[in-house]
Amino acid sequence: MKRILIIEDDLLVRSIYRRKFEISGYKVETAEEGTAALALLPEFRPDVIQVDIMLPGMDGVEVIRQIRSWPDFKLTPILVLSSFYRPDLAKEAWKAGANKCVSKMDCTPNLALDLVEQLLANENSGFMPRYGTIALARDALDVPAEGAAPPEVIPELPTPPEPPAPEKSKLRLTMDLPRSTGAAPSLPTISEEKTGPAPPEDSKPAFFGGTVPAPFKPTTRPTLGSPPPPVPVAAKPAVSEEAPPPPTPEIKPEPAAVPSGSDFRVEIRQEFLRRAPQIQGELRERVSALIKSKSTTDQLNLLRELEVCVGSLASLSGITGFSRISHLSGALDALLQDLHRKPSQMTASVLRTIAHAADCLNVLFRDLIGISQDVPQSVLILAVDDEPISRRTVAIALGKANLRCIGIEDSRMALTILKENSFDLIFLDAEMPGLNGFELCVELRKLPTNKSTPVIFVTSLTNFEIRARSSLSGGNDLIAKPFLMMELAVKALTYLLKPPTRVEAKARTAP
Amino acid sequence: MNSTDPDKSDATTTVDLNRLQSACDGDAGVMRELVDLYFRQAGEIMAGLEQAINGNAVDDVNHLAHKLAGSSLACGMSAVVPSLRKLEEGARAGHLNGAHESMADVSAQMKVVRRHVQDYLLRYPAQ
Repeated sequence: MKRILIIEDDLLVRSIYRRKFEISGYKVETAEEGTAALALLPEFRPDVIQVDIMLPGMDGVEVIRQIRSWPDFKLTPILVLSSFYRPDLAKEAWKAGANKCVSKMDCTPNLALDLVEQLLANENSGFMPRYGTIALARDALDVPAEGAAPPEVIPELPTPPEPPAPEKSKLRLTMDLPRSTGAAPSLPTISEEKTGPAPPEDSKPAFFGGTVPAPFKPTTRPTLGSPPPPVPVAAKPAVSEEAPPPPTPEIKPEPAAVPSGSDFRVEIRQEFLRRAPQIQGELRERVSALIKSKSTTDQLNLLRELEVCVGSLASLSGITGFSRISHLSGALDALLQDLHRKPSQMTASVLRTIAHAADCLNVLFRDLIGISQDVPQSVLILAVDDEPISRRTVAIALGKANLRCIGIEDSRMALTILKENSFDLIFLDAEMPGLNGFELCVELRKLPTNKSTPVIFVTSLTNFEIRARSSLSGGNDLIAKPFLMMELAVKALTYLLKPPTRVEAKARTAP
Repeated sequence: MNSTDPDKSDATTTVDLNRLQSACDGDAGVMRELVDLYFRQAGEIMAGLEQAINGNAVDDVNHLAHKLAGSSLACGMSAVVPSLRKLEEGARAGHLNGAHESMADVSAQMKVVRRHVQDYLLRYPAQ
């Protein structure tokens, strides 16, 4: 029986992976943080390790470094779950010795199992990348050569076939929004034949047996960039601790049949649905507290709490296949991490963006079943700004969410393009020669092609007059220059992932 | 709400290197590209500003000063922003009083900023 060590701080996510690997015949140990994981290594001797990059105390990158420093575990395959919106962390993980990085926003238990089996198969066939010589196996496992460009976190998995999108515009740009996992038809599902012996009852995650769900309790996260704590010599491993935290009464799970792959997916989605109102409430409460807070110290503490809450939501919604929620919360998490590192950039504009994203998450929560969870695969964004630096920074910021835009310098030319093409999102500079942003917005609202396209003004002037002009001209939102890259990315995702209201949908389809 | 006014916070340093790094996400290649773009554009706008001030073209001064202040803030070139804002505010109010002095200040500060950024780029690790 192969042994896997799962290092993950979120109790529910950890439980889901534990369950998945156990029913697939693995012997599983889990640790909620790095120190406990390192203490487990000598005795458990895993064949493969799955590690979340964001861990409390010692972060995932440091955990990998420490694992690789032990001669016995230099070659043990390591699968890393990272944020799609933090490619810098994935790069660090590669450098530290990870074998595979996957976006947790898109990582289902099926995908994790598939990747683990691929890593183990490659190890057995001699194609395993060796620490220090990873370039030899890069073709087999998508491992980059040393010194190569930073690898992208893989938002992989084929998406289910989508109905052909209606012809939207003459101008079409392929957009690479992170792909939703959907119901991965090509992946192996867990069948009765494939599963190993059922795990002992007491090691099963409680919620699978119908336990009352524990309150959504965000776990702690490390401060980015903080030095890792020393590894205690006799640290007690936090293993098999999957019982819900107090005060939830523990209910003994009923013996359950080993679920098939699809049953498993349904089961974890139902669990997410059960917890949704609680998560939603927590999120609303924390965002509201952050916005109301007066002192910088309070703001930093509240920011950290919100970061933990949103990060946990990103993992949980990703693993359960609620891709829209997972991508928006993942991007919001990356923005909160940026603010954590640069608290001086917490402007009113950023706080508005956070509140807006939280509102959008609430809308997505409101109808988890009714709203398509597929992330749009192809979107068209226009950025009109006479200033090249602003156009470039908008493009770079959108690139953080894997979005691309068409940049136009001249507002009159932009109007011509807008007449012919329908866009999904438009960024306008307010101050431009010729037609200024407000005038352009008034004109584009008259066009059947873009009368209801969200318009976001990007401006260094955010006083009352500018806000009023923005609204009166038909703009939807405003973002203050200079902006944080992730702020603009979150703003864009908020508009692209939010389902249209009935009025908006009607306006878009009306002739 | 505890918000920060970027104009005020950034004006305290010659170049806000955090802002510059943030504008390019710490990517050395993008940083060089943005810096080149900035100074090229700044040269053109400053020439236009001189011309507009001499020709008493208030609207042009307003637009160009606003444009250069915006890109300066975006790239963290903080030292030039206060004088540009002064020019912009005056022009918005319909006058160019003290515009020549403000323009001279912009030019002087731009030289300091350029030197500062060039030194920084020499030290910034290529990726």
